[in-house]
Amino acid sequence: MKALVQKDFYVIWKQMRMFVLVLALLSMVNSAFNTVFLVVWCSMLPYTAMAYDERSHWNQLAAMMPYSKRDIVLSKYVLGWLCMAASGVFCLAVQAAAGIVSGSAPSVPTLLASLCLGIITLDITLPAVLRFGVERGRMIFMVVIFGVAISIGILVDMVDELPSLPVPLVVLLPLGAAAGTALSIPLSMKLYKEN
Amino acid sequence: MNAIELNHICKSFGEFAIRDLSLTVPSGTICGLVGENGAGKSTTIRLLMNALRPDGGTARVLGVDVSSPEFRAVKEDVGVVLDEAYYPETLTAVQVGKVMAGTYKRWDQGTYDGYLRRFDLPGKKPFKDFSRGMKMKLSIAVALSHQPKLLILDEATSGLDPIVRDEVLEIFNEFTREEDHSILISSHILSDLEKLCDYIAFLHRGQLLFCDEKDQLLETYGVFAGTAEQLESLREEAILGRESSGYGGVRALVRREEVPAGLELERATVEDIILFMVKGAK
Repeated sequence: MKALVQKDFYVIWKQMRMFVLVLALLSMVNSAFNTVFLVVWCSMLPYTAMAYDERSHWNQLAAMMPYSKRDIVLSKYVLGWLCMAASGVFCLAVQAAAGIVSGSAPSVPTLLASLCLGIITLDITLPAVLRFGVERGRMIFMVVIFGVAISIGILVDMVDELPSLPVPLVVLLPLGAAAGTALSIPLSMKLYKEN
Repeated sequence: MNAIELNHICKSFGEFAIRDLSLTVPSGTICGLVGENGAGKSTTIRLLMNALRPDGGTARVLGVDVSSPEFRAVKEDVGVVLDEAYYPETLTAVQVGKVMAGTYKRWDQGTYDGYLRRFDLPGKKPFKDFSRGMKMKLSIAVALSHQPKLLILDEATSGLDPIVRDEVLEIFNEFTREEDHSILISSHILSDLEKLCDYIAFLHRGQLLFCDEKDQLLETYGVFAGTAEQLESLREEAILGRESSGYGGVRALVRREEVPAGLELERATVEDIILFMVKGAK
């Protein structure tokens, strides 16, 4: 699986350079919306890799190699998680550095909530993209992103106040991410095998 | 042991179907898979590598049932070159090497680097800027760099210039000097197969018309060249296919043992045998 993640990393590396630039610019503005937007945006990077795979018919070649279907599916989740974690750490670092000047501290709870939302987005969209391909899965993906964006809009004000939020929301997001992942991975494997 | 065994494989795609395909490639031999476009060669290769599930029948590669969980480990011993090199376009040859080092347990970086030099492939040029020949050379380099025992090559020599093609055929020949090394190669370049193969298998519209030793094939068949009247004097069973050669003459593929001993026949090439058989089947 490591080789597959490495392959995807090489494929999206050029895209990531642009991501890093946007990340740096947006991270300097310490707002909950920017953090959530950046992390969820990074959860889309596996689809860039998958679009390249589809264009080159990589899966036909991968089927000849000693990769299991489990490895192929899991590698996309791992890539998404790594991209989100990297963007989170990057946001935190840039916000901490900017905070030296502005005096505002980065919000760790906001970041954690963003990671959970990114994971949930990946959990919902990846099975559809694996089943229908990036082109057709994109529509489903857009609907989900739209839904998540509306939810974020509603949550942003609350998330800014996270330390004073009722416990259920703090618990709900990580639980939702964990439960979503537990359901999404087997579903993705089933759909990928059917494909 | 047989390197490849297909037993009564069936796979239907609606209009096209592989029907009752049984094929055996003994270990240590080279088998050429021949057939026109759409005959089922690539489908057969996908069935062999368990990339497609058959509707019926069984397939074994290097003694292991391809539908069993153990087959994944067997893929370590199989080098595959498909009709296109399906690496993502942004990868470079160096990056492909690094990915394959994590893919195959017995990946030999020295061998891979050696092939990159031998084939004159740039290490840092993106794959999308490679010519078709360069892409196929990269695929061949990968297939040969993880110490495989079996090579499965789908149109691996197409797109290569004659000099490189000759070099690649020599590499394949060298590969089978190890007695447990085998090759299944599909190609439209029949002269390559005649040069390389011990066995020739001919697929036509999803059915295997024959799989025979090449030398035996060349001994069994001959090409008759003469007049239509001379040809009509031969028994119908002796004639497998015929064509007009112009000026009232005919050429036909005949079974040597079915024609009178004194009748002079030209030596049939593998290409003659395949072309006449396709015409005969039509």
